[in-house]
Amino acid sequence: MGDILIQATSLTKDYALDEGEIVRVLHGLDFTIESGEFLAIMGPSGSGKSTLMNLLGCLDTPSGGHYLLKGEDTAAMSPDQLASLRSRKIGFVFQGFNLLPRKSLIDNVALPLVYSGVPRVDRERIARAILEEVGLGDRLRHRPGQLSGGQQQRVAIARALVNKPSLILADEPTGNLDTKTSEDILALFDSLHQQGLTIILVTHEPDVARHADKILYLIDGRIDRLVVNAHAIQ
Amino acid sequence: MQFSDTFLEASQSMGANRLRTGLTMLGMIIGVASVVLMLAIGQGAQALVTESIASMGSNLFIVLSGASTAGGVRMGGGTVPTLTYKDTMAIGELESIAAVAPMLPNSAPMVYGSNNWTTQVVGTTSEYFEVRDWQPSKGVVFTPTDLRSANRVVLLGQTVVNHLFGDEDPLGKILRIKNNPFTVVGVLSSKGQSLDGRDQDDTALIPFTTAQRKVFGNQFPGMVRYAMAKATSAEVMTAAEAQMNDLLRQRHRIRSGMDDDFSIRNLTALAQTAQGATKAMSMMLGAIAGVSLLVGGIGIMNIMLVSVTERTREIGIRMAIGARTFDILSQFLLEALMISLSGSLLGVILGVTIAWLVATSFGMNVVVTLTSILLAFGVAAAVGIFFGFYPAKKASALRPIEALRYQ
Repeated sequence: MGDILIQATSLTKDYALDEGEIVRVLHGLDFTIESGEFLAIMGPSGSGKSTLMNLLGCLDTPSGGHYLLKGEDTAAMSPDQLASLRSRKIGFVFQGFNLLPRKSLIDNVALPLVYSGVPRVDRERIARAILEEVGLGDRLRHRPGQLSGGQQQRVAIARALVNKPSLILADEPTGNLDTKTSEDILALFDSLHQQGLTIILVTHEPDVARHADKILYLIDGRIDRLVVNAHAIQ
Repeated sequence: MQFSDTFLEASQSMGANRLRTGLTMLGMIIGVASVVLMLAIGQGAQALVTESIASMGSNLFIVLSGASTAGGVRMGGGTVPTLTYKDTMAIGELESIAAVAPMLPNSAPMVYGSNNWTTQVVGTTSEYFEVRDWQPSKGVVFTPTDLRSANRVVLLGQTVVNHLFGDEDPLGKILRIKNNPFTVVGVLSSKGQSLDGRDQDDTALIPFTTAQRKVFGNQFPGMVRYAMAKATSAEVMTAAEAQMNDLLRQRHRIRSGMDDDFSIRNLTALAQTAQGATKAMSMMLGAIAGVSLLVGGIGIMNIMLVSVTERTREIGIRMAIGARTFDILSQFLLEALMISLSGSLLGVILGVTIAWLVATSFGMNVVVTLTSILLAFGVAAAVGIFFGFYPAKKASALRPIEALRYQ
């Protein structure tokens, strides 16, 4: 803990509308995230949460300013360099799980390893171990469609973990789940956090955000406030 | 990403939608099968023509005696006996001519035992065998003595043997031609059909002198109906024709400005025309079949484009978890290539099978060559890559956030 994982300086993002008009979604954000932190990003819809998430996840490049992930500046990267960075450093968990429906659980979890060039024998072993860790070791050959939403999200988390990323990005991970299952998933995030992983979670539910150490409030593409001791909020 | 993984991904997505993959492949199967089949039929026809040309003999001329005119009615070639045995011998002296044979054909009934058969009986010399590149499969050709003494000996074509002798060995047997007894001294090897479809084996050869003096009578002594001449090589054909023309005009004392009383035909030129025509036909068949291959390729592109659109979200997920542009490109390209290659493999099998069926049930001459199979296969692979590239490029150029958002 302590070393800086993410550094954003005057981060902006513009989108061009069809009429040629340019809309600024993020207005020069400055913040740093240290390794091992659990940060929640909150804000009303249209506040730029998803846009920020795409930038943090290296799915998109900023229009202005700099985003440094472990000291690597993404601003000037090609799509393939971004892909390589995602493959090595980031694990994604989506609201809609985004598993490949035709692949077995173990193949879904092993897919990131395919793209990072891990040999097949090792892939099987690593994916199996992680699925056992999230409690699905007995369903390796099932398809995602045969599982409940909570179980599918566990598989997605296993997939996010498989490349030993520096950062887990979760976009509304409990948005499609009932309260009970949400608590289970959040407990899983808590335990990952305890193991020292850095987690960034986008949500609009205060109950979910409360699991994080810090909460970043975004309003209209600007940082409204940063709450440091999130657990204390009632 | 390793090739084996790309292969696995491509085959999984092929297997995921079997009906669609199968139908796409069908386009390729039909395309390749028709290319293989059409080339087989075309080459079969070509082989047939080449065979007929070879059976006719190479570098051949036919020298015909001239046309008669009676009261303004021109009677056509060969109606006036102007070509003599001596003319043919003189032609044989020319250095550009390898061999020349006088021809005295006549239709005549032949009888052996209780069988009879009417065929073209040709009086000629032993040079005929050289002119036609035709040797007996059994027995011998005429000897000089046979010619000098006008012996009653005969060489039979295979068809005549079949009709008169059946399974019996004709060598040394005596048959009758126009009631003259002849001894069979040889059986000609089978030549099959000529270019114009006549059965070349339905013939019998007797010495020229025998034909003149003993069988067909002697209306115009020393005359021949026509002569067949063979040039020493293909290069001297033109020169040989000119030399024969000069020689015969001189011998027949034809003054300049007067018409020839003979005509010379170059059979090789005729053969080349026939060969060119069949070659053109076989290329045309191949081209038509090639169009169906092209249509099959467009089918692949169509399906791959649908597939890319349908799997936009999947592509987004793959990109989010680390797939590079090339990984996506190669997956879709390989899928297109696999569809076209497995389609062409099945197409080759189907094409060869149909070619075989056509050959056995319709008795058509088909030739399936390795070259035509490789050609069809190669073109199919090229079509797969060509038409697979655009959809694959489109897939790999998707932006991950947009692909992920796609519903």
